[in-house]
Amino acid sequence: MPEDLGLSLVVLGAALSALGLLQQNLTPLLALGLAVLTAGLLITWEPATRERLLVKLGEAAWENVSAFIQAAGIPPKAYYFPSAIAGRPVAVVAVEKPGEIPRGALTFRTGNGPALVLSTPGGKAVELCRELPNDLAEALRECAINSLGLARSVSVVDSPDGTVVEYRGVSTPDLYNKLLVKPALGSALASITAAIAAEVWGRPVEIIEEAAKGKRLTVLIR
Amino acid sequence: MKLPLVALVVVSGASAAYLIYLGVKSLDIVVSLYTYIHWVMAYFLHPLPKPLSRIYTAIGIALLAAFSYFLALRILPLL
Repeated sequence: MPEDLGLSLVVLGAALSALGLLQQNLTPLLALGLAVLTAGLLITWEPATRERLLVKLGEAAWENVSAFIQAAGIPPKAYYFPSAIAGRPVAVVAVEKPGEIPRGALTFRTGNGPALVLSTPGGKAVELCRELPNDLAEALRECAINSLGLARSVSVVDSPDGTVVEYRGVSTPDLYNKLLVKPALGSALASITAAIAAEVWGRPVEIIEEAAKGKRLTVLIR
Repeated sequence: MKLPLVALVVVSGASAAYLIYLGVKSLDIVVSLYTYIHWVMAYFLHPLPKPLSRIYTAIGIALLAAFSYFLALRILPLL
């Protein structure tokens, strides 16, 4: 939206400047045109610049989480738990799916080794969206598309391997794509998908596979 | 950032309206005045993130170049 406003101002500013240059008795309009053009350029670039800055600053936290997973020696694989089981929407990185999560724990032990309880982009999205419909497709549309504006459309198809969620027109910021957190939690939108699915289904969910192609993202969850 | 940008547009608009009222048709006066407004507003707009700051400074430098050109055109006949 601010980008659209910015582009409109750039066009308006250019038109006013041209009018000021071409129409001799309206030359002072050039000052207004240049001011509108400058404002338009800054408004167009500002959101992307701020977003890049915030993502970069937040990258420190994801680097620490990656180091933590690596130090714990756990394979990067997360299970998304709903708030009904864990008290809040979380992901547990563990060798195998844990049966239950001790309330308030940040780490705990399973039969096969340590497990890390992590807050995820998906968990935060669920907190932002609050009330979710009971149907997964509707919940994803309501939260990821209408509320958060992370993609243009979403479709959900059941398959023998799990549930395939396909997004089109994805515009999600790249939070941690080069870090170990990516294979553990999935991309930001895959994490949001898994967390919402866990909330809607009321059971743990794992991301089996995800594939991005241009502005299209396919996530297989189970 | 919003308030200084609105101020930039409002001050420029008011100046343009006043210059039109005075019947000013000279490009060098308009460019010089806007260059002055642009650089005064730079003080209120800062701090800007680096790419935005570069855009604003680049526009300012272009305006200063135009201002210098018009200034040179005025001074040369006197020399």
